[in-house]
Amino acid sequence: MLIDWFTVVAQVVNFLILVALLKHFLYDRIIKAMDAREERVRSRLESAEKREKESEEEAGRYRRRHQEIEEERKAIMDKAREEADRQLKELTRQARQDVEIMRSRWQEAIGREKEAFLRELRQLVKDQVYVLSRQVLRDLADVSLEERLIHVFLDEIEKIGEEERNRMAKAMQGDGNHAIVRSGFEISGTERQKITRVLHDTILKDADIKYETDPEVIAGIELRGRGQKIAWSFDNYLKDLEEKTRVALDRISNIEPTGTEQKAEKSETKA
Amino acid sequence: MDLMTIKDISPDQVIFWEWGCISLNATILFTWIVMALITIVSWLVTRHLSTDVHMSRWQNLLEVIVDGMQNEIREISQQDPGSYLYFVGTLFLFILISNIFSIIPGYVAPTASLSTTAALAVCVFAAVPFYGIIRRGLGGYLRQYIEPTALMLPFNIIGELSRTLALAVRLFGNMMSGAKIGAILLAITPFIFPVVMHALGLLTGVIQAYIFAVLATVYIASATRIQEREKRKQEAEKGEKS
Repeated sequence: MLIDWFTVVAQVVNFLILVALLKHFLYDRIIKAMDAREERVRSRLESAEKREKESEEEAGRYRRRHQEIEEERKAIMDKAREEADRQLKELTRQARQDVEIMRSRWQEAIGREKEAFLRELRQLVKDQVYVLSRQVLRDLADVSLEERLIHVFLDEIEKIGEEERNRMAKAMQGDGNHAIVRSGFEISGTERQKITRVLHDTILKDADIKYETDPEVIAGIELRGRGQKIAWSFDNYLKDLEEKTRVALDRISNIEPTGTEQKAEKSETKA
Repeated sequence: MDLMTIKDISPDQVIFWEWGCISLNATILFTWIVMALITIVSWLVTRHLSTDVHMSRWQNLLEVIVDGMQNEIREISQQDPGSYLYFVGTLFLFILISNIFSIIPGYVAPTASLSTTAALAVCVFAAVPFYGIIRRGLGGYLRQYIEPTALMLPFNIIGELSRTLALAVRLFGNMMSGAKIGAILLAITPFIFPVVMHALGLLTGVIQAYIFAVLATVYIASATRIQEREKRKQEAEKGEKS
């Protein structure tokens, strides 16, 4: 008999025991491990996806923030540029104003210096011309300059017209027949008599003539009545010289400020 | 072939110990050895299982085997492997290991015994109604024998029995004949040719294990899939009524 029934039963039992053993030791454990791994991988993938999503969101946030910062930066830069432009204009304006003030002050100073210079020049020229002329006249004509001055003065008096002579006479009469002869030097007694005589002959017969010495009247001599004056002095020539000098200095000072303006404009361009 | 002579058709005939009707023969002994081996290897490997992506080669091997069996059952039965795996998987592993070890000299495959194959076929014969009744209930399971008509009842019963017999005889015949042919050839041409036959025997053993497991799955699936069809039909009827 090929089939042993005891063996069949034993094998059925054996097989069922094997099923139980393998269920416990193999299938359940292996399936559990595989499921756990699957779950783990799935959770890892999920967390990775979540992290990726989060990082994308984070990146998005950073991009937006970056953009905002860029815009802010641009706005600040624009504002700063505007402010700088405004300040530049303001400073330029102030600089111009300062330059203008400085120039005007400078011009004033130049004017003052010019005035002072002219005054000094005039004084110097007067003195020098006086000294020089006296020296020259003395050397050449062998007469004192005062004599020459008096001579010229008397010539002038004799040369004046009728109308002016009458006006002078009236002026003297209005002042109680007084008249003053002023000179930059002391007139000797002889000369005084000579002058008095000429004045009596030409203007007013019984005029009372007083003599005064005034250093301001350089190398000159003048006759003063009430509100009237007949004079000859170096002042006439000196004033002419002074006027010419002033014109020359004005021309120089007009050139100088133009140069200063150009300099000011250059400094603006640099700013 | 020291243990069995050429005259011994079944290892049942090799008896080591006997007490009354209880006898310890080669079939039971080798079955125990195979069982012990499978269980010990499983226990050793599954003692320290890794749930991480890194794992031992043995664990990987067992996972491949278990996963492969699950996929195969799912594909054949079109159902979730679930508890079928315990039964079908154990069938496959036991037959496979028993057959493969037959290349070891002195070993006699338990599957070369008609008692063993009959026992396994009986298990399948019992498992089919077991799973069928669990799935669809006793009445539902029994009704399939009188479908489409009650006239089919004898044929269905005969079919049930015959396929069980076929299962048992197919495996026994293949394994027994393989072993016998090997023994006979060894007597005729002691060199080379028996090796080829052994290799062929290995292939046959693996194929037989696969066939047995697949057929068991198909039988169980056919007993449970009817229920699925009916369920769908019932659901469709419900849908029409509503």
